Amino acid sequence: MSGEIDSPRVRLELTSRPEAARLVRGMSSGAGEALGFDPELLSDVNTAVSEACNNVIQHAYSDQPGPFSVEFAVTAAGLEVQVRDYGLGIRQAAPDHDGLKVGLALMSALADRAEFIRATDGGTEVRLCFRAAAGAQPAAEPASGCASDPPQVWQARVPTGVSGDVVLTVSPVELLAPVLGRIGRALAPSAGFSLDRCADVYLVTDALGAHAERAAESTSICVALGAYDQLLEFAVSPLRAGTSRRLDDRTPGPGPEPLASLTDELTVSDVNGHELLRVAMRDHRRS
Amino acid sequence: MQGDFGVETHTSGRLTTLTVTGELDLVSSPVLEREIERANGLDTDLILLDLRGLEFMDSTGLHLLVKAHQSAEQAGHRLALTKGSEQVQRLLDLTGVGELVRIVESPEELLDSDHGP
Repeated sequence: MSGEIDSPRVRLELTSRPEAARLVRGMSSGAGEALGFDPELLSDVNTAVSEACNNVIQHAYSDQPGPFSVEFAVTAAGLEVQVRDYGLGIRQAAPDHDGLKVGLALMSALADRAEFIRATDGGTEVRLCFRAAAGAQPAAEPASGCASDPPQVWQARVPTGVSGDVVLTVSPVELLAPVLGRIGRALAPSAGFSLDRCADVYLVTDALGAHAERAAESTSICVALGAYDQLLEFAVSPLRAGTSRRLDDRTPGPGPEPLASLTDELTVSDVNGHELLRVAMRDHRRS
Repeated sequence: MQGDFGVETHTSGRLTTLTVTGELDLVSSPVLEREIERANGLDTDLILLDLRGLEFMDSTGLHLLVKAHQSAEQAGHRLALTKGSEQVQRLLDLTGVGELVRIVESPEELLDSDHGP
């Protein structure tokens, strides 16, 4: 895939509903722990990013929730987080809102650099840089994360057939299991899952992560998540052709429980020469 | 969606304790706000927000604590907090809210100091 780079990147596209900040914290915590961030740094990152998300949720769109994205990029220079919306712009939305002022002050205090950019095509881009993250993960790329230049554009294209309220893209693929697990766990209450079934989410996301490591078509992977009434759905792509059909086998083996046994539906479809794996899990205990 | 958030209210003598767990944010702050309003209506001297089980708090939660402090004073009560996670404490320190509200290590410390000389 063109545009891929070696340094770890995680991107979440979602809708500015109140619970969105929890999903972003799930992404941040999963990625930060997997990349070996210092716990204090990760705590600061979670706090600052939550404030950026709160601003989008509360101020970016006037009438109804709108789209926004959060991207983490780790380079030799540090961690750069971009939070991007397509709404009114912070200052037009609520220039004197106390919560907004506190949120902006917290972001500025916690990050080594915080920039609030009015995008030329509408909306706001918040860039937060944390230099202490440098060295958490060796990066082959030239440092761009905390440089004053605009960050390198990541061609995080969502594959055909993958769509949903929440779309996660990670690179390298090894980051999928820890990040997806935390996001799935944060999303499960939206589906009305019981605590027991919430715990099962980790088994499914671990299995999806393990399969993606074996079957991913490139060094990045994309997952769309959907939460409905007692139903969680995951759609994973792009996977190499012919790698996912055997997942339908429920025969217990010596390894971890088969994915088909952990989920209620499992379908594989061919899209533009690669495979799209969809799994659904329900909470039968509540029905 | 409240996630893992929880708040339990317990009254013993003149002390009302609200035990808060999980994440205090945009989603869960209204729940705690209602419980604080309810506590302010009780015949109590002291309201303690026990934050030892609080894993995360954002500026929404911070704003609520400031508001709780103000409303408790107006209702003639005193308000205190027990320390939360390091993230919670860092937020209180950074914003100066930790200097506005009395913070104790445990409910026992509060009771001991209240009955002291």
